[in-house]
Amino acid sequence: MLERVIQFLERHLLPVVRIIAEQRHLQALRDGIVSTVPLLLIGSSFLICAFPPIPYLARLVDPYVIALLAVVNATFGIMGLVASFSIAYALAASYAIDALSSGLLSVSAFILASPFTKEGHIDSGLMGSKGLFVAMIIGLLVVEVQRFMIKKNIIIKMPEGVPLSVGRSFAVLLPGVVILVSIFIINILLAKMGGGSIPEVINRVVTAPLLHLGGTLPAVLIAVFAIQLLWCFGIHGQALVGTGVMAPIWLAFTQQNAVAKMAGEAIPNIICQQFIDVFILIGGSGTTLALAVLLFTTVKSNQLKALGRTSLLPGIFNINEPIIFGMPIVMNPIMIIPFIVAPLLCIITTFLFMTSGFVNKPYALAPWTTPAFVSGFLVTGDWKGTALQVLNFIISGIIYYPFLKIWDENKVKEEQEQIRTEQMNTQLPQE
Amino acid sequence: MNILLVCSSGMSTGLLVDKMLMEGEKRNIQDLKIVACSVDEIEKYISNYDVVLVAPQIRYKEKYIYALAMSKNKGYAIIDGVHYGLVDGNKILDQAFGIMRK
Repeated sequence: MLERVIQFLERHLLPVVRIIAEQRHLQALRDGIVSTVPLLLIGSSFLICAFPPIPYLARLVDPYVIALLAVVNATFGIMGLVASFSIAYALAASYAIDALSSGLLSVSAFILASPFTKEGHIDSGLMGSKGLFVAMIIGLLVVEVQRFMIKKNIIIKMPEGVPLSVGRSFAVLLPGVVILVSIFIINILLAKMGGGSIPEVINRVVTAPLLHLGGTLPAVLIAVFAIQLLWCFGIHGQALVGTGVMAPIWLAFTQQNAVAKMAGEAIPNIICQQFIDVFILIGGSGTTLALAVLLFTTVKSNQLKALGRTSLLPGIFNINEPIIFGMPIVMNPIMIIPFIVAPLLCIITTFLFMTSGFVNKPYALAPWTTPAFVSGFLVTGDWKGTALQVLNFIISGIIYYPFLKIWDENKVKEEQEQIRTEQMNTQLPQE
Repeated sequence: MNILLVCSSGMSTGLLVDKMLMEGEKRNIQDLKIVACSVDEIEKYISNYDVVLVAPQIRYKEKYIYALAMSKNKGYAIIDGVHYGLVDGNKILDQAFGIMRK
């Protein structure tokens, strides 16, 4: 029965997965947004320094808080601006259009679309996560307009003999004019109709509903279920669904949390990138750190013992391909069950502990390879963050244990059979 | 021989690099170069390698990597899941030699 379900899913799920993975615009969005993450990580370390969780240290850094937060502003604060460049860059590169000029054009378009303050300054409030979805839409559109005009040959072509770089910079002129003039006209029209600005419209129509949906408990449960299910077929679900689809939403929440922390306000979002990386993916997709420890300490079969030795160290850094493929969890009707159930339960416990206010909501971002039990404290500034990781670790261990026992017994039997057949073979007369 | 290992971020294939190099030393293979990279960087690296081995978890990108490897006349294979999971440098090195193009 289960085998038939697996076969059915593999036949019908894999093609869809391929399409999503190779869809050009989704890929550009993913690559563009992921390239902002290093900045967010640097910003996070300064954010942690500005608000150290120990009162003595907090007094010590007090005179430098503004200087420290300037770094947070220059990283988290311009996430949207940076994305407007990197998304257009990534999409243009995939079309083999001059990526640098597309990126620059997109930044210009993004700034033009974001209305200035009354004093005539760039509105810094629109450069961060509020600008993220604006940057996504503008970045893609800029490149598509460019591509369309190149395809229809509506570009200024330089005669032969003109250096390539000069020719390229001229090629971007006409598309640039078309894009900026269109945004200019839309700005005026929107103002006339009293509809506000481009970011306001995008926020109302796209961002608000998306974030509203993406920030709910069911949405996270569905996303993580999809991640786990893909891994069950040996496909990198986290790269596809986590980074590929959910990252803009989760990182937007991450940014909102960092900004709130900076302003000394209550941290708004439970669900964010760290919620997944730090509290759910303990040891990797499937919350497998506890499983790695169990493999290292309790199993009897030789294959699983060997697996315990190879998987514990990577597991500490949240890398678990050895377990997923070596156990294997892939296509394994026994191990698939805890592999899906454990992370979903951890989501529920984490959500409950954070909604009740017992554990602080995360505000800093840590690299996903940060070992568990350290990362929980780092991202929340709260030792109870680590306690919650320990709880999730134990819960996942309890869920994995009985299934691991069954699988281990299977493996032991298999190995004994193998020894027996080998003995029989050696007893047979040699040819 | 130069072998390029490809996975999602170059992390889990990174585990494999050392194991394969150790195995190569045991077999006394000269000039063995093995590097792990992320699938997003493959176009930057592929020209300098003879063989491309792909981690099983990104086989959903197979079409793209396969086309790229063929256009550059490189050996190509997806690593067997169990060998990959057990970080079996020995078997995977065999696989690499098996698909080498002369």
